[in-house]
Amino acid sequence: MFQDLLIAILYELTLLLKKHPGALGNKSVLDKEDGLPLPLRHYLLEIKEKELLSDLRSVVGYVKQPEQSNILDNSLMKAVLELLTRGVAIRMDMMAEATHYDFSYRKELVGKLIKSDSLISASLRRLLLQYSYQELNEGVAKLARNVIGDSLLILQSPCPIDVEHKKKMRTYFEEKNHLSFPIFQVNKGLIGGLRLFDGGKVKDLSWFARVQQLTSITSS
Amino acid sequence: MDRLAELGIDLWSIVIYMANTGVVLVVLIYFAYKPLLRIIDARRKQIADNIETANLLKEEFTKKLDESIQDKKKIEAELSLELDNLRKTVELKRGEMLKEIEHTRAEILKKAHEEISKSKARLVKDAEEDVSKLISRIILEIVQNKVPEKVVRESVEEAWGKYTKVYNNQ
Repeated sequence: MFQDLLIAILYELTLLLKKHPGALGNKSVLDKEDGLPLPLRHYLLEIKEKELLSDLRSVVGYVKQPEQSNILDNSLMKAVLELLTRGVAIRMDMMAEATHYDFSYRKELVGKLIKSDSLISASLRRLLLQYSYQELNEGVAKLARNVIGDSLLILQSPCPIDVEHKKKMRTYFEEKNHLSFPIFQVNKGLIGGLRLFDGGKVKDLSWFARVQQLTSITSS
Repeated sequence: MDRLAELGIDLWSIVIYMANTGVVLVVLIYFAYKPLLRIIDARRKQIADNIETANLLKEEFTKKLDESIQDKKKIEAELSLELDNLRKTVELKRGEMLKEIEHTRAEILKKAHEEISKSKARLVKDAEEDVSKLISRIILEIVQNKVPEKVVRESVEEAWGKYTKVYNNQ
């Protein structure tokens, strides 16, 4: 799913390094590169040359053969993941609200959400248009598992949560772990409240659970 | 002699008759009486022998009879003793078996009581579960279909608030 995006990122990085060979660790140079997303700029600010080459090699291998490559703890991929979970996720939520609109409207919306002309931005726009909200969620979750070995963070609600609340929730989880990626699901069976699956643990604050609890108390 | 002739008695006839009778007697004695006597003697001897044999047999039989009576009494006494012993053993075994039966009966009763208690507890538990499931279904049926959307949204916010409050402190 993210091959295009990774190719775009590799291209932009190599182009930048070709244009500015001393860009690594150079804040003044990197701050001027508006076309490059912030997580990638932070990555270039902190990474050493040797590690950069190693990361690039791993990412190229992943682009060619995703199933056979190991990108666990790859710093570049972590930056990509941060780009997806921070910047792109909220845009995904906004696009989810426009699912029922026609293609032209959605294309216009994506254009408003991601304005830059860079290859990376173009790739992100394509991602948002091409894949459904569900598919993108699954794709990002899978990438997160491959990069940081993280388990799923799922929030179930009895009704769709609006974009503002989603943003609030994402921000909350990002403060705890900047690479966390909550997946929002609708489960009418909850009736009310929320149910969270986090790191293999379940925190059930739904009305359904409360009813179950009450009826089990009454029976005992 | 004339008188005897008048009577019809002839002397010579008498003499001849007597000689005849004598000859007959001699012949009989010689050819019949002695063999006959011999036969009778032999028969008498045989009878005596037989009687003696019979007496001997009788004595022997009596002796044997006495012996067999003695044996019979002895065997009867032994059998009687055996029977007594057997009776005592049977009585003992009967007592033991009765105890065992009683013990088994008590165990079976105890197990049956335990099983009944377990079944009862299981039934009660099943009934409680069924009732709580039914209550749960009824409540869910009511709540799922009747709660306004606004209330549902508010519940989501409330749950989120609770979550951040509880888990922020962890």
